[in-house]
Amino acid sequence: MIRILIVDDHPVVRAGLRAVIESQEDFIVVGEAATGEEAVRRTAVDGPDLVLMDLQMPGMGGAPATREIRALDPAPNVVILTTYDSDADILSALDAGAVGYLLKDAPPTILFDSIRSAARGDTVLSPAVASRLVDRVRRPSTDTLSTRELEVLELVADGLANKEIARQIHVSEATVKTHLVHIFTKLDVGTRTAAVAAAVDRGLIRFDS
Amino acid sequence: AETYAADTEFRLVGEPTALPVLHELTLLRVAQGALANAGAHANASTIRVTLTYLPDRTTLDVVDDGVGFDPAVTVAPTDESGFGLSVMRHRLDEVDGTLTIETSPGDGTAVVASIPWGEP
Repeated sequence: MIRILIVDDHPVVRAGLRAVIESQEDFIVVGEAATGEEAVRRTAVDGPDLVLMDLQMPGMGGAPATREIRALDPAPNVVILTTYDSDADILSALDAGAVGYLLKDAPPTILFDSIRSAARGDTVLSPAVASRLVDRVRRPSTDTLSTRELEVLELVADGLANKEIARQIHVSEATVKTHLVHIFTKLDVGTRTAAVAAAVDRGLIRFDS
Repeated sequence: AETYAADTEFRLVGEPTALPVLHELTLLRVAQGALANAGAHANASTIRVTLTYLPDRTTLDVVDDGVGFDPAVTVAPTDESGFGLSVMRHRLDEVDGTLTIETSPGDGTAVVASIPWGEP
């Protein structure tokens, strides 16, 4: 019996997932959470084997929540279930310790197989996500933005100044500037605006209006 | 020795690569010095240490959310334990590294040491 915690900020999505998951005899939904903070709390209380985690939630997002859950003892496996497939989103989730990354257009049978695999600790990736990762592996490292560089660039895209970015990721402004120099070089641009545009264009970071 | 009350976290960023021993030692001394300063003077609740491996350099950030200080005020260059900022700068000079201090009263403190890879 696989004990599952559903995390998504949309009640209708949670209800739909619960109904679909409960159609399987070897699954049981032990709880739901609508925020990252709640996900961490409920994991400690409900003791799931697997957490299905949305990425984009108000407050603490899915990636930081995954990191905190993976630091618990015992730590359940976490599978991201989201509509977003940018490099930044994928890498930050995997870096945080997610064992899987599924897109929400996956049919239920794929979801069920993925849950069973992920509960065993196997990596599960939607084909489109796997493709993005293979693309990164094939490109020379001087060309691809690192996980940290993507993290910084996302904050630039959110409109944060260097000092605010430094606060957010707990480093100095000097290091933020160092990352930006590398980012500009890799994207062959000279301004923050151009860097964001290039990154969105290549699917490296999410386009959020 | 005193123990300090700040919550300290360490994070590693980038691909760890073997550094020359002198680089490692220098970064360790800077970390010790910066942490000691933060513990003794900052009255911080959180200290974050980040070691970043980059293709052209290695960077160590020690950031606290404490009281900060006015960098215009001269800091004593040496004390018994040698944790003074001048000593740190001197150590980093030896490996062509740099030391940057970002701080102001009430605004916390960030100490960054950066050591470039030498000529291949």
